[in-house]
Order: sequence, then C-alpha cells, then structure tokens
Amino acid sequence: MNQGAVVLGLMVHRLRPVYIAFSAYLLLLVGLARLPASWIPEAVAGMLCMPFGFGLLATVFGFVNVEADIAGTASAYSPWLLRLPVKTSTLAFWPIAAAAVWASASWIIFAGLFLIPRGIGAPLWWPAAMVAALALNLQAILWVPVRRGGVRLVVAIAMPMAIVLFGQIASAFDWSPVHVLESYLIVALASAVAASYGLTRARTSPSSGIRTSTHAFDGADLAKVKQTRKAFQTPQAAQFWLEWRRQGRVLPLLTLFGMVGMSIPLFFSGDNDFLQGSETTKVSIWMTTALPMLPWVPLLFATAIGMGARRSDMRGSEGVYHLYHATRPLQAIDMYRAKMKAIAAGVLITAVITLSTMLIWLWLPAVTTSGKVPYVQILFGSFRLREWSIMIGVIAVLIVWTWRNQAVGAFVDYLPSRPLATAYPLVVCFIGANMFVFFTANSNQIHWFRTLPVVSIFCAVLLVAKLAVAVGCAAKLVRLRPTSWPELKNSFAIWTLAASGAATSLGLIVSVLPKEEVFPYLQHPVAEMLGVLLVPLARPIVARIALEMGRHR
Amino acid sequence: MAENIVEIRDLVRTYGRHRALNGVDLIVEKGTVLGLVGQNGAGKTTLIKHILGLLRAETGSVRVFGKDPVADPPGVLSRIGYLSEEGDLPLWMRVEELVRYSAAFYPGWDQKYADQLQREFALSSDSKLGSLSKGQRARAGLLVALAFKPDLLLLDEPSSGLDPVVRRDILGAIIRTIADEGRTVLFSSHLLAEVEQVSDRVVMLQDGRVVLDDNLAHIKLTHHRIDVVLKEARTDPPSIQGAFGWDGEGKSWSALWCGEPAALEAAVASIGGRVIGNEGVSLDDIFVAHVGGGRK
Amino acid sequence: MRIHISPRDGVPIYLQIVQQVRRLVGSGELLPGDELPSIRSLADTLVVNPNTVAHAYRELESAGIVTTSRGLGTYVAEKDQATAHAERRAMLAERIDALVLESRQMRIPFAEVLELIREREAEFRTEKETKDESEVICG
Repeated sequence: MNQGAVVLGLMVHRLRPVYIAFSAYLLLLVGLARLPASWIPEAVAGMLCMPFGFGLLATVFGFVNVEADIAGTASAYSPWLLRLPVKTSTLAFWPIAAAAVWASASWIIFAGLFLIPRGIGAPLWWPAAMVAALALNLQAILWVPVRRGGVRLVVAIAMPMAIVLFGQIASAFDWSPVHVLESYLIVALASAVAASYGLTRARTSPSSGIRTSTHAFDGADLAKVKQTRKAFQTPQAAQFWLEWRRQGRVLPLLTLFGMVGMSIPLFFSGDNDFLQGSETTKVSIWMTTALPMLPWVPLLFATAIGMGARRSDMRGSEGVYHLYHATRPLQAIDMYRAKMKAIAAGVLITAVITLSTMLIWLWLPAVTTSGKVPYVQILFGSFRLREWSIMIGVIAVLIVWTWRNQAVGAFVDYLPSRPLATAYPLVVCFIGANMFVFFTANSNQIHWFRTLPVVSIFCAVLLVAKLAVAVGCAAKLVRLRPTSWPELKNSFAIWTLAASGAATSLGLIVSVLPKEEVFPYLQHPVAEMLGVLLVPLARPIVARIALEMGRHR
Repeated sequence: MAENIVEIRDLVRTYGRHRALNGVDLIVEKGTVLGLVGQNGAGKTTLIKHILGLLRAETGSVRVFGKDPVADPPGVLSRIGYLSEEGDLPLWMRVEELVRYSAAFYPGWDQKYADQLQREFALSSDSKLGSLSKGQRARAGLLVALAFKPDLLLLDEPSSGLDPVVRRDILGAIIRTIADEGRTVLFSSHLLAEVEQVSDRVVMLQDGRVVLDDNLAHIKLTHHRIDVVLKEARTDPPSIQGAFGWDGEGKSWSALWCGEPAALEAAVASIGGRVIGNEGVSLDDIFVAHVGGGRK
Repeated sequence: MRIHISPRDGVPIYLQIVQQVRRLVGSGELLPGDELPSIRSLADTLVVNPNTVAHAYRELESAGIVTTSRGLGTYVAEKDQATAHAERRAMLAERIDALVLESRQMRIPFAEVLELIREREAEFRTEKETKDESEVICG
C-alpha cells in the first residue's frame, strides 16, 4: 500500500468520525439544494450553513495534528510519525496535498452545489483558493519548530486573519477575482514550502526545539548565585508574579504587536474624499475602516487566550492538576485571586495601549482645503453628547468583555477534567458561530417573524443546558468540603448561573426584535451589548468552584 | 512516645471499578525514614497524593502534622518538601526565579543554605529549567525541597531515570534531613538497595494493601535464605508455614524463610528435613518473594 | 578509616559496620585511643541512616570494643594485651569455623585439611624468602 496514504490514514485516524460526519453533512446540503426553495426558510438555511466553517476547521486540523500545542516551541507534527521509516518528502507532500484538496473541494461543493443553487450569490473559485491557503498556512505555522512559543501563537492568530481580511477587502473593492485567486495560490505555495522546511528541521534537529545547555558551571556562575533580586514579601505576591508572567502580560504584549501591525497600513493607504459641510477632505481609507476595529482586536486576542489556545500551566500530563502548581502552600482562594488580579492588570494595560493608539491615530493630520487638521475634528467634529456617550459606553463594554473573555480562561484552566477542557473551546466556537449567523441574518432584514421561533428554540436549549450545569455544580458542591462555603454562597453560585442563562436568552431575543416598535429605549447599542455580556460573567466565579474541585479530588 | 507525623487509618480509594487503596493503615513517626515499596500500580503514588491533599479520603482518615491536608493546604504543605517522580517543575522558569518564587511560600526558608546548595549542585542561576538535563532538574527540585528545612521530606520515586551521581545527592539529602533533630523522611522507590541503605522502616504495598510494615532491622532478621536437605526426595516443593519461593529438586531445596529464627529448626524438622545453610537476604529478594506471587 | 558497606549483601548494614570496625581494631589499623568518626559524619560518608550507625556503635560499645562519652565522641577502647589477643583469636576462630564447615560440605577429611594448611604455609615462607632475596639483589 502506498506509504503516503498510510501516513495520512495514521494522521487522521482519531478524527475518522468527524470526516465521515462532515462528508455526510455536505451530501445532505447537496440533496437539500435539489428541493424547491420554498420548502426551507431562510433562517433554517442559515443555520444549516453554520457547521461548515466548524467542520472544515476540524477536518483541516486533522491534517496538521490533533494534539498540537499551539504555543509550544517544538514542531506540532506528530513525533511518532516523524520516526517512521518514510522519506521526509512523503511525510510532507501527502498531508499538504490532502489539506489543499480537501479544503478547496469542500468549498466548491458547499458553494457550487448549495449556496449558488439556493440563490445566495457567493464567488466560487477564489474562496476555494483562500481556504486552501488557510489550511496550508496553518500547517506551516504549526510544523516549523520555533524558539519562542509566543511567536507562534501571535502568528497563528494574525496570519489567518490577514488572509481572510485580504479576501474581504478585495471583494469590497472589486478587485479582479483572477488576481485574488493568483495571490492566494502564491500564499498556498509559499506555505507549502515553509511547512516542508519545518518538517525537515523537525526531523533533523537533535532535540525537539528545546536545547539542553552544555554550559559548564564556572566562576561567573558561582558569583551570580549570591545576587538575588528582592524577595517576595508574601506568598500572594509570589503567586501574582507567576500569574503575571504566564497569563497577565500576554494580552498587553499581543495587543502592542497588534496595534503596531494595524498602524502600518496607515502609511500606504489611499485616500477617499470626505464631504463635511462645504469642505472636501482627503480621509485615509484605512483610518476610517480600521479605527472602529481597534478596540475589538484585544477582545479577539483575549477570546483566543481565554479558550485555552495555550496549554494551561495548571494542567499536568494526564489531565489532572500539575503536581508542582497544585502543591503550592496556598489557599485555593489566593491562587484564584492572584490569577484574577494578573488578568485585570493585563487588561488595564491593554486598554491603555489601545486607547493611546486610537488617540495617536486621531491626532494625525488630514489634508483639508483649509490646511492640515487632526482627524479627530473631521471624524468626530459633529458628535454631540449622545454620540460621545454611546462611543464611550461601547468602548467600556468592550474592555469589560475583554476581561471577561480572558478571565474565562481561568475557568478552563481549572476544569478538573481534560476532555471537558478540550471540548470547551469547541462548544464556544459553535455557540459563537450560531450567534454570528443570527446577527447577520437579522441585519439582512429578514423578517423577524421567521427568525423568532428559531431563535427562541435555540435560546431555550441554551437555558436548559445552563440550568443542567447549575444543578450538576450544586450536586458536586454538596460533596465538597471546601474551606469556607456557607449554604448562601452555594445558592448564589447556582442562581448566578441560571440567571445569566436567562439573561442571555432574553438579550438575544430582544436584539432581534424590531426595537422601534416594541422597545424604543433599548435602541441603545450599549444596552444590547450588555444583554449579551451578562452571560457568563458567572463563569469566572465558577472558576473558584472548579479550582476547589480540581485541587482536592 | 514520638509524635506521629503522618497518620493514615483505613484509607480506601476507588477509581471506577479498580480499588487503588484497600484499607491502608500507615503511621510515620517523627524522626524516622520510611521506605515505601511496591510494584507499579500498587498504590504508592495514590497514597502520597492523599498525604499532599491532592486526593480526598473516600473513607478513613488522613492526618499530617495532626491536620487534614485537604482542609488546610498551606498549614500542611508549607512544612512538606516534596519531590515528585517526574520533577514536574515549570520548564520556563529560570533557576533563580524558581528559588525566589519558592522562598515566598515557606516561613523557614534559609537563603544562605539555598545558596550553598545551589553552589554544591552547580546550578547556574540564569539557566531555564527546560534547558537543564534531567539530573540537574532533579537537583533543582531537591534544592527547593530542602532549603526551608522541611519537617517532612516526601519523595516519590526520586531516583527514577537518574544517573548514580544524582542518586547519591538525593540519598545524601535524605541522610542530612534525618540527621537533623525531629525531621522525617518518607520516600517511595523501586531501587531497593537505596531503601535498604537509608530506611528505618519499610512498608510494602501490593494491590492497595499493606503486606509488610516493619523495622528494616527486624525484616532483615526474620528473613533468611535457607538450604534444606530432605530425608525423602520430592518432585514438587515442600511447604512450611512461613517459607516461600521454593526452588530445587529431589532432596535439596532452598527457599526464603520468613519468621522468628528460633522457630526455623522445628518447622523444617516437621517436614522431615534439616537446615544445612542459612544466610541473610537482600531486600530485593524479600520484595520479590512477598509480591511476586510467592506468598499466598 | 576504610569501611565499605554493601546494601545488597544479606548481612544487615549495622552488622557490616560492626564487623569491619572489629577487623580494623583486630588488625591494628585502629589503635586503642583512636577516635571513630561521629555518627553523623560516618552516616554522611557511607550514605546510610544515622540510626543504623548509632545501632552499630551501641553494639560495639556493649561488646567492649569502643567507649562512648557524651559530647566527646567514640574512642577505641583501651585493652590490655591479653584481651586484645583474645579478640584477635576470636576473629580468627570465625574464619576457621567457616573453613571447617566448607571442608565438611566438600567431604574433605580433617587430616587432609591440616596437611593442606601446612603446604600453603610452606609456600608462603618460600615466597617470602624469594622476595627478600630479590630485594637484596636489586638493592
């Protein structure tokens, strides 16, 4: 049997059910497309689209490595596959080719045999090249051994975003689809080369990225033994330092890179004409496009971190708690507080970085007919109190949301069961995809009568799930003997979970209603966002419970 | 009577259908070295995790320094120096960061002693733990476990996979700890030669049960390899209460005898034989005999 | 002071220490009045439990080979000539016991054993003479 095929089979072996399910799903879509359009309402069609991105990501990831540690230094290609007596070219070629073919074929089937027959106009060819480029790019990022795992994490978030954004911008500006296709093919090719190179490096380097130091202990080292920096005053201070090093400072660093990265196109961007009263100003296209996106960048990073993109310190090798960290002479509440404080400090610094960047952007000069004027006057010159309050409110909510998304990471960290911790990000992605589709469907002015039943069913399911989790937590709490948990606190935890679930559902329903008719004062976008945010503010609180449960099993 | 550092009574632990610990009693007296031995999966690590408070007692009780390690983690853990089998130290920390971080948790931390150990172990301050060899990492773990002069030194298979020089350091650490008044050591190991070298007391676990719990001196005294000559030849091994691991043929047989020396002659005479050889036995052989299916 | 212990040996460690100290005293390497290492330092050197060393020292003291004074240390006991000689005889007697036992197991009659001892002793004597001669020649 062909060696390459065998390697492929070994790679995707664990995800076999996912491939089968995804293929079945695509076949189902093709079949449904044959039915008359009136049989399937828009909302259902929208819902049917949701598993596509999700399933594509999972199946593509199978061609990378299911157990990859995104923030690790070693190559993520299965080490035991590297040890097989197979040529490196075989090990590289087959997964790369399979990923490219699988990704593009999936899109072509999805778009060509479902979306287009249903009348949803979607380009066929360049997105196929785009998903292939995304897949190969992912392989390249994960297969190359790096010196610092943080670099890989940053690139793994930034590159796919850039690739997708490129396509969006290209279609928004009506660039030639052929050029876009060619660009993506070039990206795919470059990624394939990088991935192969990474594989060669992974195979030939003696250790897997971590180099053992052969430095001999000499006089200089002897002298250094005495020089210690100031000692920590309390155990809590030491624990804060640990959490800051590992979690707290990640977000500010990522955001700094993000802000710098976002600022670079300012120098190359072209200008648009902007009419303000009787004056015409040249306004940078990038400025107007990117400025509102800036506060969302840290939110995106925080979500990625919070979902456990980086393997948690607290989790040991068999999924139970890491023996060193769990045996620190510290109360669980102190561990938890240190983590929360580190995250809060990080988010605060991130907010300062983001706001400073925005302010710097706004003070850049724009050329008007009456000389150079800072952008702030042009873009916000007409703002009154109401507009300012909305904007400040939105930014404030985004900062809180950033904190909450990263703080959820504490919950994931402390989850005592490894399968749950792995499943958690998948569930979040799935729910996120749902919400995205609903909001998109809503904004396309699909009549709310049709969406409401679907939304309600979905929210009801969510609520039941949350209540089930709350009941389960309560049952576990009864078995615990934590240090200080009077009955009141138990009930509070349960209530918070249930109440937050109810609030989510309400918020979602309200957000799709035509507010002018039903709830005029809920037109305020801040109120909308708060409705969704209440959701799992409870989760950081439940992190405390998870920690107690995990530390003493 | 010496104070008991660790008191475990009737401890049971079930994982699914498997009983990892099946009614274990264990007492560790102050000022002793206790060697915990047993096959892989016998329950040694599970027992140690109970002492650390990482596992709750399903039934029975666990008391360390008279306290429940689950109820009071800082009170108990701040007096235990723990070295786990895998080292398990955060690989991203540098040596000096590890020392600084650990120092904050232990009131009795002696920085001068820590510096002295660091020099002795030749650990350079700037190296990341991940870039050290396995032996050096073990030494780093030993450093932060010893520097605050713990009341209880708890080692879970500390020597596994390490070269003899590091093993010597670890044993030396055990000796130094016990030489100080009032400090105690509990360690589990497969290297029975080491257990023999430094233990006062040995506890043997098998399938979650304690099969032997005694002073090392008494164990050595009551276990002998005996050579026996029988009056009549046999094809299958003879059987005496307290003797197992029979090997031989015809009239000449040898076995491991476990019991008071005074009772040996009479027991052998009862099967029509006499003792022609009688010598001491290493802990390895005692272990294999008890645990390797010889004892019923 | 050369003491080697072997943990895998069937003999308990404290007993090994006792035997070796007795050998050193008997052979004259340790003279009466010489100080033995403290319990702690010997434990450190041999990498054994101090309690084991303490047990060995107690045994040696009750056998009269060493004396311990609190705070001052452990010293090889002063013995008169007769007692020292008697002890050396006792050590030799142990060796002879082993020899006799082995010869019985090998079914070599005692007369032959004595003959063998004389033969070996003669060998020793001639060897020593040849050695002395060669020393004189080489000078």
